[in-house]
Amino acid sequence: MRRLALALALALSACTPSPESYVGASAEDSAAADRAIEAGDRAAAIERLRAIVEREVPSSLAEEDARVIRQDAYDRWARVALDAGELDEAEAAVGRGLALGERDDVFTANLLTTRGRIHEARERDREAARDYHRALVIQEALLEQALGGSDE
Amino acid sequence: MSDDDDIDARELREAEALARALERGYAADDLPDDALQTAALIRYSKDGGALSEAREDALLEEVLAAADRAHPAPASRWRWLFGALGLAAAAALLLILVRAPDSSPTALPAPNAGLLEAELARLDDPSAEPRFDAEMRAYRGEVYAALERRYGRR
Repeated sequence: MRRLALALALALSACTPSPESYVGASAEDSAAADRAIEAGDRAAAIERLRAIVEREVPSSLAEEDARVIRQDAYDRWARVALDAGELDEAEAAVGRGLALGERDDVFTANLLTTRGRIHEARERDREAARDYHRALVIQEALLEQALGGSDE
Repeated sequence: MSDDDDIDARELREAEALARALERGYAADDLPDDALQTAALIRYSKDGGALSEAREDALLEEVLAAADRAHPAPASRWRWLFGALGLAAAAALLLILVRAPDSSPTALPAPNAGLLEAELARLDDPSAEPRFDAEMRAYRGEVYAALERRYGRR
């Protein structure tokens, strides 16, 4: 009976991805995407970035930590697509990233800036200006915190 | 038929039922309550309520049969299965409790002034993108390092 319980417990733990494997695999994909971007290999970069956002998030990973990892990947995916003139793909990626939640941090500011670029490319100047302004407000607040912290 | 005849017939039936009750030690349905009490008293005064050996055996069989019906013997195979399932459920619950997620976000490093200035610069000037990319890559490395410190490295 003990063996049965142990086997069941092991099976349950095997079905749930661990947070260390999630973070580790995402870090590897992120570094590989950087190398692909530098090499100009757009398809390989997107494949790695897509792997990050499609990876199953472990239940034991804090939701905000998953958001940071995934928003960063969505922003880079959108920028790679934007640079290639794939506006629909870029807009879809940035939309999925912002749908994860908007916070006053670098990752949300990056997505807003990239969406502003996409609006600009589509000649939607008003929407572009709105996104740039929102990104600017976040970045100025973060800069103020950073400079204030360094003075102390 | 007169009332007297009717009363006599009823009294006769009750008397017969009383006689049977006294003889057998138990009453049939046709014996009224007062007659039943009378029969019990008479029988008790006669033999102290003692039951005959045959009656005792019959009662014992009835009691044992009733006890079997009330507590049927469980099938040992199912009992073991339920036990195993219970133990497995307890193990799963323990596993969940041990691995209960800490939902608080990781304390990530704050972005430095160089990154934020590069972010502001690229809003005005797209040619500032390479500088931003370099700063962001460095910051991303710090973020992953913080996450790996919390969750462990593969």
